[in-house]
Amino acid sequence: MKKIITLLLVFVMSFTITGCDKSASIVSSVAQSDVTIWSAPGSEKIMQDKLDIYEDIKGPAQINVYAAKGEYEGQHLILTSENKDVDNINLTASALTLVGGTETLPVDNIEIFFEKYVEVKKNYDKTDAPIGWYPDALIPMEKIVEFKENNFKAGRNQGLYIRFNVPVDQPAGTYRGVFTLSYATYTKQIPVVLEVMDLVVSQETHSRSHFIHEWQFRLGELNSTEDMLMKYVKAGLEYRISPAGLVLEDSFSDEGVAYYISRAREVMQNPKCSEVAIPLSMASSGDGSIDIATSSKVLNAFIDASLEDNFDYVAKLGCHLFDEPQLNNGLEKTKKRTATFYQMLEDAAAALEARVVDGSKEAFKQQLVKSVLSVRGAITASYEQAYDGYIRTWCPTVDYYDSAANRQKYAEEEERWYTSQGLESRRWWYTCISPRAPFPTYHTEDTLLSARALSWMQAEYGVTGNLFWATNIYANYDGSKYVNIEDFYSGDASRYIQVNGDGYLFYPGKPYGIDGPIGSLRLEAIRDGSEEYEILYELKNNYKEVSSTIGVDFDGTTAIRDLAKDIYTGTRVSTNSDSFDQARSALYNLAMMSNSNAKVSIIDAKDNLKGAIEYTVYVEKGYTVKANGIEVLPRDSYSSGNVYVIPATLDKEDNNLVLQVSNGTNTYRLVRGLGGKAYNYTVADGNFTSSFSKENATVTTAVESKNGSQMLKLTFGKTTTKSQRIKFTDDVLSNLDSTKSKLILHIYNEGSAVDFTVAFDMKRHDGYKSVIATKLNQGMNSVVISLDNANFALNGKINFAVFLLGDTNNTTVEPSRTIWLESVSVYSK
Amino acid sequence: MKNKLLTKVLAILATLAISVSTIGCGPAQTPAGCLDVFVMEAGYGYQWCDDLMQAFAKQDWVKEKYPDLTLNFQHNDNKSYVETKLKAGAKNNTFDLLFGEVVQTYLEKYAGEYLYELTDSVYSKQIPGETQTYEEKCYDSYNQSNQYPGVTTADGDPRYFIASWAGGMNGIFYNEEILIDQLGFNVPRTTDELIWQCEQILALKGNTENKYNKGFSFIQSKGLGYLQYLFPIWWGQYQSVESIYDFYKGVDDGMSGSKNIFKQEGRLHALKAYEDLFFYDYNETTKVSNAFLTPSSNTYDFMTAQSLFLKGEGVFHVNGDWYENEMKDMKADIVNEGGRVYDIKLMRTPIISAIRYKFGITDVELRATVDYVDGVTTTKPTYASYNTDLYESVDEIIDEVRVARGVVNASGPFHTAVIPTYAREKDIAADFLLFMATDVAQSIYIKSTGGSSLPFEYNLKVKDPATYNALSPMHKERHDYFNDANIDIQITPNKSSFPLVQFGGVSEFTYGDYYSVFSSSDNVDKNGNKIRTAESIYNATLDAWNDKKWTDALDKAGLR
Repeated sequence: MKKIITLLLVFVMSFTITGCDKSASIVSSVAQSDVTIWSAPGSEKIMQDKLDIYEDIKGPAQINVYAAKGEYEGQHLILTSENKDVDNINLTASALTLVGGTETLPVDNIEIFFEKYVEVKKNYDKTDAPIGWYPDALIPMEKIVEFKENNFKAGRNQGLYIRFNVPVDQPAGTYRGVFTLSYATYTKQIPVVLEVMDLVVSQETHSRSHFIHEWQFRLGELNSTEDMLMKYVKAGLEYRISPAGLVLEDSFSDEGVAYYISRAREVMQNPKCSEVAIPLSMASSGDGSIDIATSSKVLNAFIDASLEDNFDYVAKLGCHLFDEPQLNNGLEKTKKRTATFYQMLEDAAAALEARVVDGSKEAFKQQLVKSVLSVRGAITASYEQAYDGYIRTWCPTVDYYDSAANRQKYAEEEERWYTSQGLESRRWWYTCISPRAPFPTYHTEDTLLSARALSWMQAEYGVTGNLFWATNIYANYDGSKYVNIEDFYSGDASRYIQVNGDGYLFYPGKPYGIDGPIGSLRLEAIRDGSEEYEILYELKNNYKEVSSTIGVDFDGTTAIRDLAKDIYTGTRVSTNSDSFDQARSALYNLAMMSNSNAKVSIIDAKDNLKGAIEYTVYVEKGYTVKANGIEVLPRDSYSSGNVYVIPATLDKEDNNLVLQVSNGTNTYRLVRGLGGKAYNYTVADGNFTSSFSKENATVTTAVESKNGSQMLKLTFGKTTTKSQRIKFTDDVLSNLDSTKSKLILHIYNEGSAVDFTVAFDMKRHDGYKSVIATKLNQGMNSVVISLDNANFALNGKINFAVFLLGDTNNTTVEPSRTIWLESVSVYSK
Repeated sequence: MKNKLLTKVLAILATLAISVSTIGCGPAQTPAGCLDVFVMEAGYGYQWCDDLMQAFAKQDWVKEKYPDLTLNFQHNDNKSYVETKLKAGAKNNTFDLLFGEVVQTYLEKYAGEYLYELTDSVYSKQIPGETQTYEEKCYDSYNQSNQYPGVTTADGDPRYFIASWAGGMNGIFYNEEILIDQLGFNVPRTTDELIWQCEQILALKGNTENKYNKGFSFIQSKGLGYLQYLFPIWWGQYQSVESIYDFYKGVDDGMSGSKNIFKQEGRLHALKAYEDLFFYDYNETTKVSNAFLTPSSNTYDFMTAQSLFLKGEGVFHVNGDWYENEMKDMKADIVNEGGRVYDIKLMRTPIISAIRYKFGITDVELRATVDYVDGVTTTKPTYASYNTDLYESVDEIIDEVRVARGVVNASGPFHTAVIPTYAREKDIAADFLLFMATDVAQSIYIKSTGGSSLPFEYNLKVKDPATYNALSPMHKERHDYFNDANIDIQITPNKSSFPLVQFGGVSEFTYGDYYSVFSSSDNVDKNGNKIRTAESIYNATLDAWNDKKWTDALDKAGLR
């Protein structure tokens, strides 16, 4: 009887297996011609299931990368098979050799990864990025081969990521070599070119960051030891992200503090580490205060260690003092937290000041005192009056830096609490679920350029610190709790509500037999951005030196703005690999020109917002300067060098400026992509005379001569509403699309300053979409509207615009007002 | 014995083999051409669906199109069943059509993935045998409510993934005999009039004049959940239904992404009406309540409260139009046991009196305007004075009252159906939804539910007078109301469909139980002072929504 039952069970099981098993092994019947091999920039995400959307970026089957010394840089090699499954994939690297020399880039500095894909089921950022399978985890090729996963299914792309780690002392020049790609039963030689620029990326990280590694890594690593945390910390440092804490559970016992300090010594002496969190003990009152006595033990231990090692650990201390109080009614706790925190720092600084040290250490002690007072307690909050005076280090989300007014506000707060006291400037920001693209994010469906652009923004806006809440949540948050996930590498990209990719940047190494974390394309992008930050940082320092030599006030911010206009406006990213590469290439050239004896420096880049740009450039004496092949004569002369003014106009479909600086022996060249054509539509040419109509305010129009031009007089009727509004309907607006970058309104205001808002009525958008809120000051105003704000991909075309004057928040009596429109300019990308 | 055991084992294993293979990878058990339908049982029951399916199969166009049509129908009262089955995928769900509750919340999660789009397959299709499309015949406010918020076609037209399967009305029921015959009142037209009536009813507590003498006016059940129905009505009356949509979409005065939505004063006035009607006034020592809502409400389950009301406890009771259907068995039991039941009717919700401050008129003038709009009188109202800053003529005020009079809260927007993307018989399921828009289906549904209706324009009194005449007075009045040529019925939306609500945490107020707070003893401090007022709840909400919280909400909702 038992036998019969057993047999029947076997029958049942076999029936089930036959019916369900879909994981039959791949049988190689693929022909060589079935597989297309191509390359794509490392800054792209090539999706697994989209075969027909990459025609614009497809490159030949070769590796072609440029990098500075001391820099990591990578590129994709993609295999595509429409109809056949492909197995047995491998790519073998070999050393590269300097063209015209004997030096090599060792194979140890070249790594090859097999890209794994996670599924974006919904584009929560509502960009035009498709849903589907996005590459993220980068598994070392040898592990993929070992685990027999070196295959892919028909109808898919499979990415290999090739990463070069250029040593700091690698001679500049062009390196060539050949890699061997094998798949199925075939092999193919892949030519490789690596251009090493004559430029060094600092190995010290000058931007600060606070990325939390302590979350749920144990669920993926099946290892919850302090040593495993340390592996994440160290891996993070190689990506130039600094950790938050260094232990899983803070202990404020003597042993606990000593343990923390020992870990900190190991981590903080790494130049790539820019910050480590100081553990804080909360007061038992529960009112938000920190326990000063207990927390001071740690701070004082850091001071002691600094004096002992003659290494300023305190300068690298910081913390995330309070999380999002504005979302959680945390004002009262913020008051207590900040008061006790600053009390602790001031007490420690005073005690240190009073401390008697060896005379040779006195200067170091004074530096330490400043470091203590500089320890930042970043609070993830945006400026709000109620918190004014309590929060000293605001850490808003990146979008709060979008407007110049906000940037100014945060700069003023920094000045108020720190720089005016002679302390170093350290502004902070963060990203999370919010904001969403076009603001920079690490979300899966967002571009890698978005993550990379964040660092450029930091350099431009003086934001030193970047906070991110979790690098390794190997679990899925379902709204109330974390639940285990089955597939860390190929599952749903969303592990938190309404967002893809948030909460994890690493992947667990354990499933592939790796003792520590596995990186991702997003981490590569973060590091690429940080490396570019270092180049920008050095460029600014160089410019400051020139500025001080010639006595002209500039610091490189204008130059960065000019480069970055191909990447973002405000903090809204709008770029593609081509545009980004132009900006990056220009940066590297500018950096090399700045480092050279010519000390070429961009002092200014003025745009008249009607299609004319004027560069002001400093060059040391003894050099000739040419713009687009024509020699330029100096405008001003200083003892060390000359200042040149170089005009450019945006009158072609594609506009470039080629700047050449040469002394006969050395020639430096900068190619600047200036963007597309600028269009000007003036009232004098008969435009806009019948484009305005009533919305909630009446409007009368008349063409009059004003301020030396023919302008359209727009008189808004009196209203008792929230602002007074008129409609602006014109082909200039309805023809705008994502190929255009800016809409500029040239408006004259005779009266006193008035609030001015422009909103678009768009085909697929509910309500009017506000695209700028500014002030019309007395006199001529050029109101620049970044069209990235319009999000044409999501919202469709513009039906009309609405001009709003006055208070948009409250119903008030808005008196009749008059403004004059002189012209409208449109810039193309 | 052995043979018997073996037979049993074989049978079990054979069953196991089939079920395993079916669950694991096999096709659905239902044959091709079988429409497999699930209905979640709620107050409207499920009989309507069975009746409609039988009628569907008998339609000539259906027989021609689906000659092999068979029907399968299941129901239960599990509210999460639809979502569970939807997500189960083709292997574990054979239902082609699921009628559930608050299916809107699935839009953001499942549209396109599990929810089959109904825009072309249902909404834009012509109803068989009729001239209108489904979308044209459906009430505009239901179309608006069922749209996928913020997601449109390339031309900006709405897209649909859900369809409503109920179209009734929620509001204040009244005991006609007590209110009108005993007390001599009319059906209240404004909230001030309703409050005045409640005051009179309280004053008559314990009277011996053969009038209602219990003192309290309202009776509800534990949690007071149904009281919520009144809030959007009063809000919409004051501010317009469109403004409610704008609120949940984050649109203020036409501007999207504006936290000025929290300055919408209709919310404050609606809340003040609650404060005036549902306050706490109970003396712990004397055990005497001077509230309009009986404090015992908080001890009743819903059937107890509804039965008591039927038996003459309370003059007013907030509920939905399924009330009669739900109470029919109970009513019969009471009568069989020799008890007395009263005629219950559902009133047009009184107009919020605060609206008159906008108009600059008195409540008496407002009541006269309501009478005029309702057709009770043909005498056009006149006003001693009115707000000429906002209104150019008396007609503008009358028109605004007329619009307000059409604001209705219903459970229809919460009772919605979906077709899974993977359903085998999507075409039949879509055609069944289309059939539900036919006149034939309207009549069947009304009969099956005892008077409730689907959300389509359909004048029962004209098109099926026999059925109309068989309805209870309550349902007759509701049908008359919905077909009143002077009134444009506008249903208040189901807020749960809006991403700003689902993911951004936006609600009318930051204090969640605003509809029940005033009647709670917890809202009175030891000195007898109110802890929360309408004003304080409104202001706390304004304060709580700082810029950071607001932009965070917009981002979570994907609206920036």
